[in-house]
Amino acid sequence: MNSLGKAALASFAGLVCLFLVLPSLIVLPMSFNADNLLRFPPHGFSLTWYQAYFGAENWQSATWHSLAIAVSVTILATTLGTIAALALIRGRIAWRMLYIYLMLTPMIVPPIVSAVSMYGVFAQFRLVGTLPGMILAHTVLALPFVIINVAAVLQRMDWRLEQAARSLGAPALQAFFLVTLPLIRPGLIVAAIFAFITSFDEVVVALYISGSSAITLPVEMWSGLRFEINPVVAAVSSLLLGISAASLLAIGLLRRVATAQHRTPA
Amino acid sequence: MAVGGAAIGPGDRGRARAHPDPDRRRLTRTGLLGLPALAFVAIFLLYPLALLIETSFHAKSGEWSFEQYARIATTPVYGLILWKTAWVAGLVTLIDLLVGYPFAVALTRARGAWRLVLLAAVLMPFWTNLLVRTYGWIVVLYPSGLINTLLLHLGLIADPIELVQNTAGVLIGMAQIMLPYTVLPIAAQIEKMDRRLLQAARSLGASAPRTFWHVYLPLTLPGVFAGALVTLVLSLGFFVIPALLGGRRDVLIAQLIDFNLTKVLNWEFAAALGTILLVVTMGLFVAAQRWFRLDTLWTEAR
Amino acid sequence: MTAATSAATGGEIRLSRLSRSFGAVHAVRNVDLVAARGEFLTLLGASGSGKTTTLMMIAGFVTPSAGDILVDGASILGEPPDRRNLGVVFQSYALFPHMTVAENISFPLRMRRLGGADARERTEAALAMVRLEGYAERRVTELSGGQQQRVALARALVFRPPVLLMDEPLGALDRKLREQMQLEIKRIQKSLGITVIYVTHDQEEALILSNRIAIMHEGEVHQVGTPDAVYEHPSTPYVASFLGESNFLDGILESMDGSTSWVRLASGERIGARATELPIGSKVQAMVRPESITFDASGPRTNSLQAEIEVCEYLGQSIRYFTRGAGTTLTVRAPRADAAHRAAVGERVTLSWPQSETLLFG
Repeated sequence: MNSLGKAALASFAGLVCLFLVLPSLIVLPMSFNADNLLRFPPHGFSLTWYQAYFGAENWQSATWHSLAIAVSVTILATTLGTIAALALIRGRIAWRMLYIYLMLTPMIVPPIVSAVSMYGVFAQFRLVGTLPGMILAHTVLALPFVIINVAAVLQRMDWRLEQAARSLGAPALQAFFLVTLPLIRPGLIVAAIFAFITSFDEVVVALYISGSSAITLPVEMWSGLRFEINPVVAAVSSLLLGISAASLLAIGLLRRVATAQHRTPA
Repeated sequence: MAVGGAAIGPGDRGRARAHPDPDRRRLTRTGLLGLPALAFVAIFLLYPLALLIETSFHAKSGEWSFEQYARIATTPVYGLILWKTAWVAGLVTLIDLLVGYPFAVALTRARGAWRLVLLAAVLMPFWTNLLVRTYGWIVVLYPSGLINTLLLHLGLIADPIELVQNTAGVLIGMAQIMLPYTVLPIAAQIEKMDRRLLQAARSLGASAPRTFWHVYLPLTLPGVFAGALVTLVLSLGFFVIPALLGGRRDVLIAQLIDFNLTKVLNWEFAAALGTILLVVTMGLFVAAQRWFRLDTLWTEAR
Repeated sequence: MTAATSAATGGEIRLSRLSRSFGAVHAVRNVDLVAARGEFLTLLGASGSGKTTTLMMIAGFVTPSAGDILVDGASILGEPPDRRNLGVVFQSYALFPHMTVAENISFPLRMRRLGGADARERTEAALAMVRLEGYAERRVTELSGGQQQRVALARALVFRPPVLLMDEPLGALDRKLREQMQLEIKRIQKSLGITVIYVTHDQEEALILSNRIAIMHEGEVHQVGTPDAVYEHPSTPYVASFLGESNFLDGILESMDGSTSWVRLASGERIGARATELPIGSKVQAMVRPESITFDASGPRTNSLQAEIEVCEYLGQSIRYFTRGAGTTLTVRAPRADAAHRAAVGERVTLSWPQSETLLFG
């Protein structure tokens, strides 16, 4: 490729980067807006919207709900997903491909369809508007992500290490906990983070299942954008951006730990 | 490479009966670990979906009927909405292919810090909340937002352009959200390419542009199809962006389903719409699976 | 083997002081080579010797740091790879997986705006030449390694380039297949009269295929010559040890009379060698090939050394001994016929070989 082509490609890539990143970053200056008018650039500097966020009961309870649900989902989905991944990679499953397709359905089905159909059943069992209901719904959505991640890590792992532990006298369960688990831990943590974020950021299913008593942060934000633009959304968005950045960093570091582990001789 | 489980296939059943394999029991037991997760998905998603499909075949009064589907087929408004959904999804996919392909090429060519920057940018939508990004787009596209303020300031326009609360807003927002889904499969396919093939083409007399057309592009096609398919399928069922960035005339199928369930409380009709969306989505995935089986014949000459 | 054939259609290719360095590393240093029309020239060397880099410079994928490359007198240095009109067969064949055999082979013709019946004819002829008639519509991914290699060859020849470049094309094939392909390549090259520059690390292959061999080591050409010449009269110890097996004995050049040089070995014995131009008194290495050594008693104009057998290997075609003598390990190759009277490990023997088979290196 000649230098003109290279320059054109590079500039194009730069523009696309801007396109990808701008809408997320722009919320930061907006959150310090002094008035409640939606305009850019924002006028004045004020922390009123942050104060409004921390002071409002609805925002705080929504945040609390989201955190509680996300943590529970993380624990539940990671556990279920990890043993399912073990079954897939290390065990024998009848109609293995069918199993895989079924487990991937939550990822493939359009969220609105999942939401509407879940609502029908959850309403029957009086799970709408309850935290347990939300936890169950989000766990289903998070499962495929956990399974894919953990399965990938299990495949990459050197199976001979667990076999060596067995040959040295460790029974299966112990070998798993003492050898395999520590080795796949970085991958497990990545899967857990995926599960957390899937639940914490989820909006469509939450709109249906959270009812009026289990309202999550995304649902509250949705209300703040649906009819009028509530400027508190800007402050919340900035906070969420911070959390995203932090988790990205965490995953980046964990990935590095994982590859370093694999490089050391067994 | 995998020992045990994954390597055993249906043909081994006969052999196992003749010589009972102690490993078999262990493997089957390990396989049982997959049941809890399966039960979970079955109870909380598959059963609800089945119920949804079943509901769609009922009339409002409760008896068995095709009336919901008939209504969709015969009422022009609904046909229009379905058509608009397909059209918007198709356009978003096209935009993302045109933007995403060069970006994927740039991504695979980048080295060091630049590569991290491009990768972070393309993965960013995965890490930022959808509503945060949607709000950001509102700020950018609003009449008093970033773009309009900039253009007015530069004197390029006299009045603000309507970029949000209309189809343009929907297209722009969705194109950005879906871009990673297009870029990543294409980039993966490019990485797999054997560079020697490009050299061979050059040695046989193909100039750089012709090498791109005859060798590079065809070899990336499986990735292009994969990316296009994922983007298309995701765009068809999208709810948040059309609802928040679209105008009153930009009702797509997801919003229609929502409207029918929450505002009009017409379960059966919403179920019918949902079933259509589900079937189309699944159908596209199944078709793609077969296509990709064929495509994998291409990958690597040896 | 004579260089040119009667139907020589190949071009002459000349490498003039060709060099390439990567930072402080000199991958190729001042290579001067000429391949005459219709000649089969092999670049032979170990990995890292610079042979592949040299070939890549000729093909146009690596830019030389210095020097020139001329085909039929004209420099091709300024041309991009697609304009050099040279046939290249890559080590991994590099067949286009998304095209059929015929589409692969006709690709260079399409690039030269040659289509229709003419292209079809030439493609068929190319397939016939590599004995793959009827394979035109097959997908390349369905072919075996040997078949793919032949398609790669046909593709590189169909547009009748003056020179064919081959980068270790037989490396991935098993022994039997490799030997078959060597015969094929030789046959095709002779019938077309095309000039070939062939890169390999396999010395046997080089000896079989080439009109001349250029032995490369650390970026430099140590020697160029016919297979006979480089084997019988290696010009450097590296060439002597790379081609065939060799034994080296250290010593001082004591005197010369007529056609014989006399060397006093470090271990004390005196041996005779071929005449040399090295000055008396210089330190020398005497080289003798294992197949020249026998256990017979010494005679006129033969050297002899006492040695003890350490290892005896039965190799089917021959027997190889590792012996300890003159302060070093000496390898001896005995013909298979002697298998019945093999010397035993531990036996003390007299090694003898003709003085005329001893070469000196300074």
